[in-house]
Amino acid sequence: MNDLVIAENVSKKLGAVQILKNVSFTIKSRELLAVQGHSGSGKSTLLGLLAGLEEADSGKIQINGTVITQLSEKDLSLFRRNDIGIVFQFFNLIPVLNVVENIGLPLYPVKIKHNEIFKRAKDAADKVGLSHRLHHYPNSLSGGEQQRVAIARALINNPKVIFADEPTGNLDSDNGKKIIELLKILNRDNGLTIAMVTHDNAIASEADRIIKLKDGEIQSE
Amino acid sequence: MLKYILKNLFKRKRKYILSMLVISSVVLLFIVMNSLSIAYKKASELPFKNIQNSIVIQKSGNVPEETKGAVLPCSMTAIKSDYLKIIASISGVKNISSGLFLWVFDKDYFKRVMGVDWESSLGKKIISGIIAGSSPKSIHEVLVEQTFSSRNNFAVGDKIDIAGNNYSITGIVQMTGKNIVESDYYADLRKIQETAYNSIDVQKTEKFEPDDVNIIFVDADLMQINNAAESLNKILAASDKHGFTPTGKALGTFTITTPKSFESQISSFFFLSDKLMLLILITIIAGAILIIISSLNHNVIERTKEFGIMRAVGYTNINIQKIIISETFILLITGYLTGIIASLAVIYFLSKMNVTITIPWELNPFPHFLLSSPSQADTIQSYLLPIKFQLQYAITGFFISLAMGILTIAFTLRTINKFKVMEVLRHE
Repeated sequence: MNDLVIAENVSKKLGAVQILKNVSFTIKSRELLAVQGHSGSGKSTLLGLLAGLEEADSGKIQINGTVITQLSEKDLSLFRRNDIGIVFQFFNLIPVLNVVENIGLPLYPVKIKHNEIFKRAKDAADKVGLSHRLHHYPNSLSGGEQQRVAIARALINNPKVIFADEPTGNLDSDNGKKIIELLKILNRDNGLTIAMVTHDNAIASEADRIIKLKDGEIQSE
Repeated sequence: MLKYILKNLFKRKRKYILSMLVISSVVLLFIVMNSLSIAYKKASELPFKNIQNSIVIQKSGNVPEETKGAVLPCSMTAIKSDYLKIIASISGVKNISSGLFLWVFDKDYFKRVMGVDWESSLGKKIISGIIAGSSPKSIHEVLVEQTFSSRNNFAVGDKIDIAGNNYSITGIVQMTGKNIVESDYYADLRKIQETAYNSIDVQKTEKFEPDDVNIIFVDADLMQINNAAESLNKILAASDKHGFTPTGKALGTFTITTPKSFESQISSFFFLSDKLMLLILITIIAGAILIIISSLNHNVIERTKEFGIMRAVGYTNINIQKIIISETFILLITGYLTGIIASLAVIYFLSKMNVTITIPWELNPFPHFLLSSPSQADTIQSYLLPIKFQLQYAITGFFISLAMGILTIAFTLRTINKFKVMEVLRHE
């Protein structure tokens, strides 16, 4: 398998605190990777850097051949829209949009017909088992359902890789398991590369590989 | 993106209603205040409508010694013809007409007679009011006012006598109602001047020359009317007599009546000076801008997480800016249109409102002893407020709304450009 994500000597400071120190690793295509670490170990910051939501102080990050650390802010946005999907711990859905509209959100600025957006959003909702809840609003969905919507939203652009920050962190254990099962299915059946941050050992054990961070450095791989 | 913009505005309408109402209130106030200001100014010109002139000049004189024959009312004594040339030369004066107004105490009945030059603008205006018959062709022909004609059962072709002179009625004219210097008969100026000159009763009160008049109608440029009236006041200030008329006017002084003379009667907030009006409007607009900026900026701050989500899923900064700009413009247009509709409604209701103007006795003199009540001496006229929806204010209102929108956008974009995506997404 090819290296889809390559991080080389990535460092990041937040204020006076060195969050990441010369972190280097790779993620192979179709791999399900878990990043573990205690609170403050820098795992969420690492995910933010991989997703292009934060800027590295030094080092290089390459995803599917694109060096994202060299991209302009606008190109980074377009890269996120076209090549990656992001799932957050707190779902981050738009409350005024219903399920199908939340899933289709990344496509609204793209010149695609409304019908096509609806069709693709519906397909993504099918994949996560939410086709019966298309017109419901986030406040009427359970936590697990909201996270499924967030995963469907991450899938709508057919990304190469999904970055998930504590995807089960805000769910009970049953819903947490269901979400991990869903991610595993997407990884196995759709060949999707997934990198997820988690502090839960049970969740991490479901991954193909685990990277452990401590004090901003990779402790073990 | 339009779907998100519309859903956001609709689902969170309570948060936006204030801004929309503020915009519509500014548009409403701007249009209605300016339209009312114009309407009240126009209302003060209404007493001049039938004479189609804008300044009336009279001179106060002595009370007639006796109530017999032809006399000059004390508010309208003789004005020498030399004044006509002086008045015509004043800047802003476009045209002048003169007349000679007489009270005629004939044995059969009392008559008010106005001598006019049929070729003057006043003469033409009177002729245009003919509702039966035709205009006089000789100095022995007169027009009779409709109400007076009905009361006395006159018809075209009837012969009448005025101060010992025979006339034939050639037409009936409708001039009454809202007029200054209402008359019962309208006759040729030269013939009435001759009548006054030959009248012992006129000459006993005032020295009257054959070409004297006693009322001058000035058609002044509307933009220069106040300046023209001021110049007239200066030129005609000196009095050549001592004492006062029964209505308290100094003898020999000129009375210059302009629309401004009636403004004080329509006492209104809307007669504020243009500068004060501008100051009030600027204060209102500035206050409105502060409210809108504060309200919309607060809404944007509340939604930074949503904008963070959008940035995370691939929206560029320009995409977010477009959302804010579009939302502000939708609010602006909705607020503006609501303001226009409200203005139309308010102006419609205001147009049904009456304003009353009292025409002083001096401007429409009638022997007080012939009135059933002294309070009838002044003529109270009621007019519908001549208010109209002014398109130019609607257009200016749009540009004011636009300026408010642009300022608001500038502030809110500054707020949105400051936030960091990861910071707003990290916490619930």
